[in-house]
Amino acid sequence: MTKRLVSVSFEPSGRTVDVPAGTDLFRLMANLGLKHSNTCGGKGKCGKCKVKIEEGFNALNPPTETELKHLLPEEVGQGYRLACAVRVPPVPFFSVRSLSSGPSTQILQTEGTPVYVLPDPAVKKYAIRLSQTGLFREEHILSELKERYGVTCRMDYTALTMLPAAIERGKTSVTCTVYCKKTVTAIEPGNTTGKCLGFAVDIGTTKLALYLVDLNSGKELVFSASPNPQVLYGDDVMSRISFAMARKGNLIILQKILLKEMARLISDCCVNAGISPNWIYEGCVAGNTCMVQLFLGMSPRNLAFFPYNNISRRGVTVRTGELPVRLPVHQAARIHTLPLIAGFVGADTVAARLAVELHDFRKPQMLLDIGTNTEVVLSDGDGSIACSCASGPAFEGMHITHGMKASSSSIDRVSIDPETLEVAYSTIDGAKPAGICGSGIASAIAELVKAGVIGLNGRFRDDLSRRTKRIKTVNGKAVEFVLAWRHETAVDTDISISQKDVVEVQKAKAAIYTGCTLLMKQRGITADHIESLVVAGAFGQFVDKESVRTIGMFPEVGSDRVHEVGNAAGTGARIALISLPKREEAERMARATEYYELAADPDFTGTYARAMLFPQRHDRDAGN
Amino acid sequence: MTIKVQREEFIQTVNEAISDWDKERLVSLVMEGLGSGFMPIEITGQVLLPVLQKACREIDSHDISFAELLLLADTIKAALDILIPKIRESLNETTVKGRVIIGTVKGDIHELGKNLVAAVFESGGYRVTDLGKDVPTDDFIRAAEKEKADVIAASTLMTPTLISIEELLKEVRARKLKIKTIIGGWATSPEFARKVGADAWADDALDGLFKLDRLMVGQNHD
Repeated sequence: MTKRLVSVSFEPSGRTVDVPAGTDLFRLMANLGLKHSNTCGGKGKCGKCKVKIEEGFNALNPPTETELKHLLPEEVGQGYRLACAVRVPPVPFFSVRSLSSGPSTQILQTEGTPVYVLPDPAVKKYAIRLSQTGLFREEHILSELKERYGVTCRMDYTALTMLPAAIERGKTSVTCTVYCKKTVTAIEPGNTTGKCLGFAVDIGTTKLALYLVDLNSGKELVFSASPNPQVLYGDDVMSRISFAMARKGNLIILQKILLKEMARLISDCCVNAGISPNWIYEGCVAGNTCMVQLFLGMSPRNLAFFPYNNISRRGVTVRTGELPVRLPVHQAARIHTLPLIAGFVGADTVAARLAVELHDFRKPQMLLDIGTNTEVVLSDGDGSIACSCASGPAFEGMHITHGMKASSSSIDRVSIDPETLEVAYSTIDGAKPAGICGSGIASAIAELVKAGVIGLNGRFRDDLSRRTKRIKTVNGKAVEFVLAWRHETAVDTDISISQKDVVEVQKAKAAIYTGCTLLMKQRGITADHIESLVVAGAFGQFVDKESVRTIGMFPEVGSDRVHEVGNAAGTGARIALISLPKREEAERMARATEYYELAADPDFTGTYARAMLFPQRHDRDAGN
Repeated sequence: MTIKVQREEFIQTVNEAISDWDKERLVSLVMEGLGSGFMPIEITGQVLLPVLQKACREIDSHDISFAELLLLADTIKAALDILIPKIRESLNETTVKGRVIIGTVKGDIHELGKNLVAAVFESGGYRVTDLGKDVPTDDFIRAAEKEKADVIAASTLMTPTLISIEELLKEVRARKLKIKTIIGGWATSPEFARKVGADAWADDALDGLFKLDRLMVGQNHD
């Protein structure tokens, strides 16, 4: 029985494909690389994969209950559906209009802080002068390495195969690439010691940041960043795990799509630096546990079920040839993934911790890496304890009505006059606003709380709606606050903060606050003991401290003790790339860090519920 | 007349304690109420559950915030914890509405919502065996057989552990158990419930109690 082929066209691009009737529209769009801003991975939970069926609508099954929940009554009649609930019907032509098209350019968090680490990389190159006597060449080279450079090593198979050509073309000299002071992995003709590069990459759930680094000097040459292409299969780690487990073959889809994007980023960097990819001998990978496992092609099944055990926590070294996608690097290149702490505290946290110097080990220091999952590490003289908070992507602009990523024309700062309730805002690049980014959301909500538009419980006050048109009401109840009127915006609609958005932010900040609080409780300390609170991640870099204090996201540590460090995970990956001793330190640190499971803490619910409220002003002024 | 006044006053003060999230006051009020002759099932059925029900409705219309719902549920739970053992004592073979096995499925340890659901079921007149969190399929089955349960209620918050619900329901069918199933939790949906063959799906604790009552009279999905 052959299924009938349907010609499916996608607007606005006009792209057309022939697929069998019954094909899942969500997967089809994902496979074609057509982006829909889903956040749940096609499970009908988020309602973000809304499409408009322009032709073939009548042949579809009626909308499911879930669809009806996410669609307005008038939309249902006009052909709006959720892609994840639609199967291509048996009609000759089927036309779909994609509704969510993300902004094209993004400001990704890639500004690394300067790193002061003495370069001592895993990969080193040594030039060897060839003698004209008729000894065995391999033995001659190895003894030269030992005598002249003090490196005792052996030569691997790949290097051996390169030897004849290197000797012939190099005539008087060859260059050996030595890995971890143990193995000659490559041999090139002549002296190429000056050309020795590596890359460091931070694989985030939402974005990738890749740095090309000169291994001799330790200097960063260029960087390139892009969204994590796996986003097509779910916005958060949990939905990717579900996707990977759903069907055989899905794991390799996730691994390949990631590797292809990495390959593109490496090529980009090489072109920008004007350097041949053949001089790249090593890569160093940081990322959360799930991302590292997907990169390695290991099923993340272990992360789906409590107690979320790690398969392995050590750093792993793979040859590029062992990966299912060819990366544009030297054929003998190795890729090293940093060690993991626990199922939800991964190599990115290890890397971030590596990047943040502890000045005084006796005083407690807290590191927060804010992302879709926020990791917290509390370190003191007795060691480190870490936890993971499900903060969600609200501060990355997702799950927010008018939320968007920190990119062109996103509102990043808001101020509200407490008397008139009039609004002043700025966008990242001064363009007309199209949405609000993470720091803008925090700033807007802090201002609404300060102006008393939102109560400490997070609810809009109904009695203010007479004072300003900005508060929109439904049946006398305040439901949203307009930041930018339609005529001011670039999107043909008012940009506002809704009651639901406030709840999303409350959940996110409560998760982070609860993680910090319960770790401190474990160690028997309070916020007063914290010597420094280091905030990593893009959000920390762009948000103003005052807003964060107003909404009560962190423990009440004085502003002078709060430091923002940007993408510490990326910085840590670069440190581990250029320094073998630091890489070993990372390995020790991962083992010495204790993991604390928040969800199992009996105080979790109570702490979380109270942390959802906004703090009293006098509490903040008193600084306790 | 005085009894009615007393009752209204009682309901009023209990409501105030709940809206202040004052667990201690609520608990002492409940004790007082019991002392002056209120039946435990009266307090839950006529005072506490209606407040919770109102809150569940109000969260949808944004009349209360999510944080408030959580704190309110946490407060009410303190009173239920006192009342439930008493209700349990008072129920006998003829008055108990049914027996329920409840748990958060294997691989998931989120049981906040499940605990509330269990408490609401008990206050609604069911005998509930709560197996806790991270409960393997076998434990559900064994407990259901041992307790001669009428219904298995399974919950999960996380998406990947939906698999565990599916596995549980498969096992219930494979063993041809004469037992109804109801599922809930953030990751679940009515479509998922139908797909995996659960007899009912519940949106929240009170919806769960409503669906449970219907299951007991033989009505599955609406």
